[in-house]
Amino acid sequence: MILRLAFGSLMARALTVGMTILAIALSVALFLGVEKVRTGARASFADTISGTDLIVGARSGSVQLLLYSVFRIGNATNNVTWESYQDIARRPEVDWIVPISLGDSHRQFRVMGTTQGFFEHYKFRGGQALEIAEGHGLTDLYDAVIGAEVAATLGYHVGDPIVVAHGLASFTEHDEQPFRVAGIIARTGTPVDRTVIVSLEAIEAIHVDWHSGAQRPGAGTPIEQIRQMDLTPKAVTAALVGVNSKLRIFGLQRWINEYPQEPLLAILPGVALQELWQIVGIAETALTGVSAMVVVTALLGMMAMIFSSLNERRREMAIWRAMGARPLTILGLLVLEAALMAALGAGLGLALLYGGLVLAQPMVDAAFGLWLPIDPPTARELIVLASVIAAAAVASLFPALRAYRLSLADGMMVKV
Amino acid sequence: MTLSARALSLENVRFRWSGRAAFGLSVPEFRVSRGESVLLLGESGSGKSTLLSLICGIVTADEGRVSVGGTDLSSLRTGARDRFRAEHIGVIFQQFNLLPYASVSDNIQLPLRFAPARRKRAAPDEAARLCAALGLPEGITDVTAGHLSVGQQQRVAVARALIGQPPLIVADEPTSALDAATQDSFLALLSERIAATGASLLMVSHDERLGARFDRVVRLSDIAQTDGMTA
Amino acid sequence: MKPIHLALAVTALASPALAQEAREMDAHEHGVSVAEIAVEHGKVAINITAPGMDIVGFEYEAASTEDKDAVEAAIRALLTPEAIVALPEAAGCRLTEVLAHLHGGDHDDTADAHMDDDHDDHDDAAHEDHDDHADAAQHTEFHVSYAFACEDEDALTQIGFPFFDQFANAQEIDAQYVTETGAGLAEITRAAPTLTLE
Repeated sequence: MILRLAFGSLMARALTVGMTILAIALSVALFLGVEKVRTGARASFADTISGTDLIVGARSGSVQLLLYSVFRIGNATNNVTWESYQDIARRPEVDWIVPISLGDSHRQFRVMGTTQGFFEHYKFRGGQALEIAEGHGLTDLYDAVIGAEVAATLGYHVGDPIVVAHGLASFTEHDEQPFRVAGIIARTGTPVDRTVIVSLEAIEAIHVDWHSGAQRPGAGTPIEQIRQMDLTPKAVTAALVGVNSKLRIFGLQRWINEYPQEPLLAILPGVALQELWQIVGIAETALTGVSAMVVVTALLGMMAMIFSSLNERRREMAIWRAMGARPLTILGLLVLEAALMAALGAGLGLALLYGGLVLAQPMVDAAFGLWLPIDPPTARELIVLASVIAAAAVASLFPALRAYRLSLADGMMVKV
Repeated sequence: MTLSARALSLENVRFRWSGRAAFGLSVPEFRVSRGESVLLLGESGSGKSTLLSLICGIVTADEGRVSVGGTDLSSLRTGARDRFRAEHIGVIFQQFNLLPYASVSDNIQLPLRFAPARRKRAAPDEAARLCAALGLPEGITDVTAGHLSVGQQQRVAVARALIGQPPLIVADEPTSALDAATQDSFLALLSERIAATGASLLMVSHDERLGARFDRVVRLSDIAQTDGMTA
Repeated sequence: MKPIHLALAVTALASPALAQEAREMDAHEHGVSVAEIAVEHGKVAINITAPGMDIVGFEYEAASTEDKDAVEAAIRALLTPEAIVALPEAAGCRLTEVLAHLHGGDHDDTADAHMDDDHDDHDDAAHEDHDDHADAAQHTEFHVSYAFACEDEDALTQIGFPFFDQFANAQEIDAQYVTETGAGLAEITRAAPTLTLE
């Protein structure tokens, strides 16, 4: 009955109560939304690479190496010479090694030169392998295998020609050596979707007539002649390495990092990712803090609303008192009302969040390649909701204590 | 007549509000017997509110004793006094008696929420029966109290005071918000219902004309002395 | 400019020089030790590098008898794995190898105890180049590595570090770990001396 009365009391003030609930709902939706994006981004990054024990590149920062080699964010400052690559490949700890050569682009998408090994060893989302949805893998020198998003955005099909542009934002195209779409990779939700994959030799081939970044004047080397050439690369951008025993990872890492002939860097993807999170964590914390402050603001608004309603409700308090309610009951009633408002706000906020997720999911995926999963609320989210309700109850204690004192002073004889 | 046989008794009571503009009230002696109906005449500002607060146990006397049904209110702790009020006293205000957002039935049953013994006495359909006996239309129990006319609200307040048969009904100018015609029928109903339950009635009013319906008419100025500003 | 070719040129120029310059000093922070932990098929390898300051309270070459005693005591302590790391009881881990030495100074004090001669996973990479560093390092460091074989791998959920009780100057261990499911980074502190493997 008390609950029914508290509910009735709220309904009687539908407008102000409604606005308060809406404010709480929006703040809760924002807070949970930020959390969703945060965890979604983390999960999506963490899902991008698995099964690779070490990433090797020229010496730079480990986060930088991780970003350019796996996420195609930023660029390598240096390359790894083929000799060093082969030295590493010959190490007894190495189970497999896959070279990666970056630097060219096709439209807005990066072109990556690699070997067949990439398709065998690159794993994402807890060990899932790449899958060719259409066509086949790299067989010919001028074969290109494209990611799902490349295919979707540019409307490419198997068999279509592709011209690779020199550099990343350049109008100079390697148009004398067109590639052919050999296969399309099934959507992975990783940067592979936005990558054009060609063979390592192909990268070498298109640069046959290029020297020091400029095209050698005169007619290009005929394709037939290029096919006969030794297309062993002189350097690669990075390499993905699998070791035959996890116990040897650190040993191999140390060996690579102390490799005397060339300054190299070997990183554990998981560790580098965590370093990245430590950097990003500050911004994340700030974002979480701001959205938490929005929740606090909404709760303060509720507190102000309760305070301002106290005067007009003195008569009501007097009735409760006359009927035998203790001042403590009055206090409890106000806290109950606040908790009800917060619960409604939290519930509505959750509904807003899921509604927003349904709407935003395809857009966020298209714009940022970030797939926000629509899952039932996690324990953490439920704890957040419970905390909001608890915080509302605590916040309402201030006006409730005032009501308590008012009802003690007024008794049942309030003059209105 | 023993003390316990009295519905209400005040002996040598002195009370002074603290913290406010000093207003004091002293009542050397005032008694209401069981089943008796008493009209207490007093202008506003004559200490009515203070007296009613003392009787209902909202405040306790600085000196002397206030007993309801033989229980000395000052012997009870605060919480117990609130419960005692819920159990033993039905209260009717001059107006705005009801929680406007609650149904008539919830309003009537509200005091039972705080008075287990009184709740046991009240039959499940008592709210509806009281409404019917007070001439309220059938089905009114589900109506939200805020939608009723003032006259209906006052009658619902009577039903609320009577439910579970508390031995003492305290009414503070319950007719002042009503027009003359309604006043009379309201008072008639009130007296009749209270007589039916055997409760005592203490009604405060400034209107001497109401006196005819009461066993006894007492002027507040005859039983109490006030000093200082009025509360 | 073509990045690959440019890079090639730069590397070609830099290579001979690098052979000379390759002696680099690792970041060395007092109070902070570094641990590498690898877990696979019930085998656990733990490498800890700790600044001399944390272990014995000085980083110059031990000259006095007192200093030498302190180094010896430290090496002895490091050779007792249960004084340094605590694996869950339930995992049923047995020590298969322990290696501790002081690093930096004119000579390396090495104590090697092979508990299991069949143990073939012995990681040599770490040992090969000790002497390369010795003359360059101003700061002494203690290295210790342990290998364990555990019966119940699933019970290997966390590793405690009584290390902090053993060495009062040690404040923090920056740990990198790798398990079959992934790798991670953790900061183990005196206040929270436990690593949880995820």
